Amino acid sequence: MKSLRTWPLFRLAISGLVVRGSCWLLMFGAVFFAWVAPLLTPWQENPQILQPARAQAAWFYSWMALFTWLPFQASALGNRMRREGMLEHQYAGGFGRLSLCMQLGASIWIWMFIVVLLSVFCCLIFALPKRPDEAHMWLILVLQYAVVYMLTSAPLLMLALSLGTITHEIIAFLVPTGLLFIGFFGYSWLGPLFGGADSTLLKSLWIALPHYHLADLTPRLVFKMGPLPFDSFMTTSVILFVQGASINIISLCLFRTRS
Amino acid sequence: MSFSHTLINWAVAGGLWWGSHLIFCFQTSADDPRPSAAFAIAGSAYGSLAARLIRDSLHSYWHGGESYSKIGGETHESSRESPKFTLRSAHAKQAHELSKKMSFSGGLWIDSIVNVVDQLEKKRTKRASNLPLSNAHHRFLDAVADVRLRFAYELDPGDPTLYEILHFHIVSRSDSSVAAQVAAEMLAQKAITYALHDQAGLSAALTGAGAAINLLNIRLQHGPTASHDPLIKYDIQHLEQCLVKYATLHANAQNEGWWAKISDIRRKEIEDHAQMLSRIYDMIKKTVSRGASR
Repeated sequence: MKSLRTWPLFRLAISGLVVRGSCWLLMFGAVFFAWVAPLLTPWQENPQILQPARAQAAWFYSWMALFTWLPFQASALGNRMRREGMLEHQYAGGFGRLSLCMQLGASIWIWMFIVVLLSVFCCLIFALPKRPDEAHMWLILVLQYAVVYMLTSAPLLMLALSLGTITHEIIAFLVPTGLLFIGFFGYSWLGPLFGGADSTLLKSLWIALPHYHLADLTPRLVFKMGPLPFDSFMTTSVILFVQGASINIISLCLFRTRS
Repeated sequence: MSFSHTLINWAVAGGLWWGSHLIFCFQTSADDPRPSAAFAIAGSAYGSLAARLIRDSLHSYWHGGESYSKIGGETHESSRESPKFTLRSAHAKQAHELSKKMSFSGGLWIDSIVNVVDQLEKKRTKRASNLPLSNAHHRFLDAVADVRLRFAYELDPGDPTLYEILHFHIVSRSDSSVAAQVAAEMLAQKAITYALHDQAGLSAALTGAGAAINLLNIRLQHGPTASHDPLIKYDIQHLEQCLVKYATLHANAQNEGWWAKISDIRRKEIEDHAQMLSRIYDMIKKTVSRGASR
């Protein structure tokens, strides 16, 4: 049983997810959706929109996974592991809280990574532009998108997981999803109200909202705008990274092992 | 973990959260107030699909709730005359004739059942009340149709029908003619820019041509004396560019073989529209040259 000494909780969580089977549905769905959804559009009248529509569908699927399957599995996993006493058992066996949290996190991040990989795959296989310089720009853009997507999703999944260990899985699922929703749509909805206000308080409130809309590079793919300029990509990544670090610290504080 | 450690962690997390947003303060370009549409639905292939789906409900709001008020002239007259949906109605008429042909040719029992369902669906939205709608209700329906129309146009700026309806709507419904003219001109410029975009398709090119014609109509209202206006030359140039773009795309479509994949009704609709636009273009050219020679 040597193999179980390294990261036992990770192995347990992964095998628990694999036997459930919905993860295979998620992976199959990513490719299927990217293939079928563009065919429903009136692409016959303008075939050159078909390829960008494939890329768009692939990333849209990734975001939908981040709104539904991924955080729900994370919260359910955290909830299950604590309820069944597995966390307490491992804690007593000498694993630290940080290690337990990271093991569970890694078992969810793997699926997030696979979803990203499938989106990148769809963008590069189904929708790579023919001209070599355009293809190069497309590749850079897709990699940038993958980085900002992962910077957004990893901490949110960690938050779902940690909340799952202290409360019911539905609540733990709704909090990161709500945060993602605010980050996506709150910016443009609250912008005119808060961002344009004279009051510094309202403005700073608006700035303190999560800014996940920065990670949505779909328009650049769909309208073939080319990659983000390097400096704004770095700024976006740093903002998302620091925000993510903050959420991760909160998640570690919330993580509970006692059943 | 002791309480003080937890407190420190929360403080660090809060500090990081604020710190990440302080980066915004050093970035002057980051505070771009333009709200971006999530997932780039508007203007993409899915936007086009969504706009087509909205069109039916838009049509029913426009005709006071009746989805089939004008088809084939067999149903009773709509309570309001609305010439705005001529293109859509023509399309619907063709589709209706086609379905009629299909449903009576076989004479199988399944066709009669299909017919019954079809009739029931028509009766579902048929007006039974003879009482006129109140003014407030009319205004409500107009407002709802207006919102849907603008939304549908945002989703698919390359749809000629939606553009023409929106143009007509802006020009006819507005209180002040100057403001309406400005709004219509802005809309037309947007449509032209969209039509000359790299990824624009056949319909978008025709929309741009229609927009250029609308602009010329606005400018030529003041009589042929205005035809020396450099703006008119500019608009004619745009019109030509859009028509050339359409012709190039059409030729490409035939060479590359995707023209045949478009449905018959849609193909005929596109060609009829293109013919109409080029006829109008010839007329405008004659008018302008007459005005210039005078």
